Amino acid sequence: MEKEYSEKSGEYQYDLLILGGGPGGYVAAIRAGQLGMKVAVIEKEAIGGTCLHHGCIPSKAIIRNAEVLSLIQDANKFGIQVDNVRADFGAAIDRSQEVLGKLHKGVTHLMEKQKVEIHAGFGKLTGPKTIEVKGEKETKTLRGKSIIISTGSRVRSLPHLKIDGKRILTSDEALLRKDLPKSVLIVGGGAIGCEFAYIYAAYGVPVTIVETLPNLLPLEDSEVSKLLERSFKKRKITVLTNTSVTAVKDEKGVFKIEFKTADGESETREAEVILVAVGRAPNVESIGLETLGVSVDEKTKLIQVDEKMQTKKANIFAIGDVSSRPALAHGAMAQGVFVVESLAGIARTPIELLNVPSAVYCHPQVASIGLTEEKAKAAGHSVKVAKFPLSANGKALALGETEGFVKIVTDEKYGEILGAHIIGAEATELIGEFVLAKTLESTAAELKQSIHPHPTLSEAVMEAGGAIFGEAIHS
Amino acid sequence: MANRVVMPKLTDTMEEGVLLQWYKKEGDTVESGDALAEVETDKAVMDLEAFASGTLKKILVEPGYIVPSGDLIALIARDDEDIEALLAKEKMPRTRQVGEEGKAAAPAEEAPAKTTSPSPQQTKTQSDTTPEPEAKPKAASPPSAPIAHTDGEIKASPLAKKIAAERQIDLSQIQGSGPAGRIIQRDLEGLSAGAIASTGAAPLNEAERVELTMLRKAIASRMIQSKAPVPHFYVTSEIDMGKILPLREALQKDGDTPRPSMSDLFIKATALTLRKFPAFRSSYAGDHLNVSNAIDIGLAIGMPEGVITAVIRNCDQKTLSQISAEVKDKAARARVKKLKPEEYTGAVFSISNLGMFDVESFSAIITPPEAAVLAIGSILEKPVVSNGEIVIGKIMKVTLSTDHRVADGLQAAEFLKALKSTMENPLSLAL
Ligand SMILES: Cc1cc2nc3c(=O)[nH]c(=O)nc-3n(C[C@H](O)[C@H](O)[C@H](O)COP(=O)(O)OP(=O)(O)OC[C@H]3O[C@@H](n4cnc5c(N)ncnc54)[C@H](O)[C@@H]3O)c2cc1C
Repeated sequence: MEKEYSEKSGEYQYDLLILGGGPGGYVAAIRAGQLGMKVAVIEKEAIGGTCLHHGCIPSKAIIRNAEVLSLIQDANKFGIQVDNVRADFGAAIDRSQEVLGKLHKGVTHLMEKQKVEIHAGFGKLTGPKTIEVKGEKETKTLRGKSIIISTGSRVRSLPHLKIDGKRILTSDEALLRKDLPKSVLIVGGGAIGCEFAYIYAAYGVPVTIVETLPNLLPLEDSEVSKLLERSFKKRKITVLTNTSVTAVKDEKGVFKIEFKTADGESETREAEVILVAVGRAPNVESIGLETLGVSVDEKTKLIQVDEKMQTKKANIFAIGDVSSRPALAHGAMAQGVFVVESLAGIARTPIELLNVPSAVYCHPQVASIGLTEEKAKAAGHSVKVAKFPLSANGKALALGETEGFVKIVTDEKYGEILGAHIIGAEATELIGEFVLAKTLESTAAELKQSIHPHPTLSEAVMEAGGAIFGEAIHS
Repeated sequence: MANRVVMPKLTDTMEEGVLLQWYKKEGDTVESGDALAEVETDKAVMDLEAFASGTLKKILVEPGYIVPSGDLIALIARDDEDIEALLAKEKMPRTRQVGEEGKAAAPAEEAPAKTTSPSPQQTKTQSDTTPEPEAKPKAASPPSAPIAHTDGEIKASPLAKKIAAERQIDLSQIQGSGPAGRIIQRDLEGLSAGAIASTGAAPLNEAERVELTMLRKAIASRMIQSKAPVPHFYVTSEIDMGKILPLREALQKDGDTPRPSMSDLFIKATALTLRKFPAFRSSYAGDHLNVSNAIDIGLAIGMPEGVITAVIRNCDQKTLSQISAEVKDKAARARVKKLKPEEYTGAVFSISNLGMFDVESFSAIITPPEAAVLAIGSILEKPVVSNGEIVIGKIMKVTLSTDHRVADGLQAAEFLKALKSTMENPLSLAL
């Protein structure tokens, strides 16, 4: 089903070319198909990108295994005696691959349905409207009126931590490694580091997690981070914040890792495996940006875009991990839809990065949207904050999951919701309610007045709204 | 969706109007722009035009009655649309017969009570479930801008309602930018009661005082000030660009002169046209027009934060290359916010060009006190008849938005005809 091939120019013609078929790219492609555009996606590996193959999906599937195991381990709290629990970690990996396989098929089918063409190969911009695709057998040139760059990001390491894929790993290898390490040291206390810490700890592996900044999940509200650290410690995860790795020595199959704390003290610990989770590097190399004048930020290496995701070249856009932080799949997807709809002439307000929720799936879960209390104050708001503890929520008690809270940050004047921060069971689902509330510009008053089913965790959202006015019922 | 037809506020001072006659009757099909009725204001007799297409489903005011500005007088909807429910929610117009002097306008008919709240046993009743004491205006609304809509029909976010209540902004005067026109916080940015209450041609210096970093806010309030009180009408025309494109290329090859852009050509052509049409370089001032002899044209310059109008003075006296050079310089400085106030205010006519963005045609909003604005679309390839043969021609659609208080359809059509003729026989531009 090749699109018009022009003998004269030797090129295939499209309305839109999308470089990279991750969540940013494939969602943009499907939406463009729905809007009747002729669209091609260039993908060097597999549709779905990091998220589907090396990120969100496999990690969430493995976390589900860890949750089932945690429940069984806690069964005696419910008076259920379970003996001889044997947890096969390899089976968790296999299951995650099955899950992503199914989703991969689904996504590919959706693209076919919208007549999106997928060109396999490495793509490079050769002009403001052309991409050269180096496939296994042939090289061809595609021409499109507009281009979306969605080449995403890749794992990254630190100079003294050479990834060997066996004992020094990144998330790419960890998601495929079927053997449990004897002990693991995780460098980096962001979302990925915390999720792996939870997985390995649930499977009984001694875990140490090291973060240079003062808190785990440094971008989250510090009250949330503090509770997470306490909770991790209860799960026997060693948490070292304000700490940097200074040297790593390999001694007969065991790493000796040296740290320095913020106060200048040094310390040494041992681990069999090191997992490096220090962020992601945008894929901006060898794709022709330099010659086109599409500029890249010197420090972050992110492609520079304006609020419309437009690069310095008017018809070239960049979305997702290659242009934006925090690196989140749903942010990339929303940006993709935004760009395509704007191209189709649909009036859209730009994506506000502050309204892209974050979600971390370790236990307790953490999710948030908008400003933290600290940032709201720094931005000059007259801030009013309220917190509702899950220990006062009936459903949380019934579940035996009372750790955590729902915190709302509002501006006192109109009760505008500036931010919401949740830690605890199902936080990543509960945050959706705040996303909607914020999108519709509801205020704390509407949260308080909307009737929630009882007993549910979601009542905590309503109660937190009430707490802003000092009117929470159950606390 | 049904569209409300209200007694317009056609002049600064108009508080009410007399419905003289309906040109259409219930059940007639109407097109946006059709004259619906004849209305007498304190100063003149004018036509009331439809702002939507559909069927004139309901006429609420009979000829010979006086109606306050803003009150509902008719509904336009789809032919098969049931408007009963909608009507039930509407406030009926306050009318009084001509000759009945002095009496305060009273509701002709009370709208059916919708305020009774459902009893707790009535589950799932469709009514406003959220009682919202906070959202009710805490203070009285500004006396000069009566709230024409009833509470329920203004779509606004809870946050926007709270802000409006506190700042005494009349939401019925605001065009929402959310889904289906819902009013959201950003629509109220930079607005206060005063900004909305002052209708009519807004004094230019109001925007001049606003710093450039507040550009967005300025645009927002300006456009509302224009769109609500200025009755716009639109006339579109197609221009054959067959002759002007080669001319432009020839000029571009000429190394010495700056390359004229499409906007430059239109500025020059419009300036020549404006010489012949004083109405389009005038501004409405209640009972007279102020006609400007200086042909100062504003060109909308788009930038990430919004749009600013660079003003090119005395365009009819400048050569094309002078205009090109000036536009280039001002556009560049506009993008870095280096224009002086006198360089972006005081135009008598504006041009907005979205031709570079693959836009077939669009209509622009007039910047008061100007009387008109020209919107330029992209060049389209279309079959045209040339010397009895069908060939592929280069066509451009332009749309003129005009203040109906200043001029009407015939004049707008003549203006466009003259402009078209200049663009299609472009040698005069090169002089
Ligand atoms: C372990 C892990 C867990 C994560 N969990 C979550 C989560 O729970 N929730 C969440 O929101 N986010 C999560 N993320 C982040 C998420 O995966 C990314 O934000 C998301 O994938 C970004 O999407 P993207 O489309 O910008 O880029 P990517 O997903 O990186 O996709 C880019 C695609 O472009 C292709 N490509 C690159 N260069 C070229 C080229 N020159 N030619 C052709 N093709 C090219 C790549 O092969 C890839 O398929 C996680 C990430 C990791 C690593």
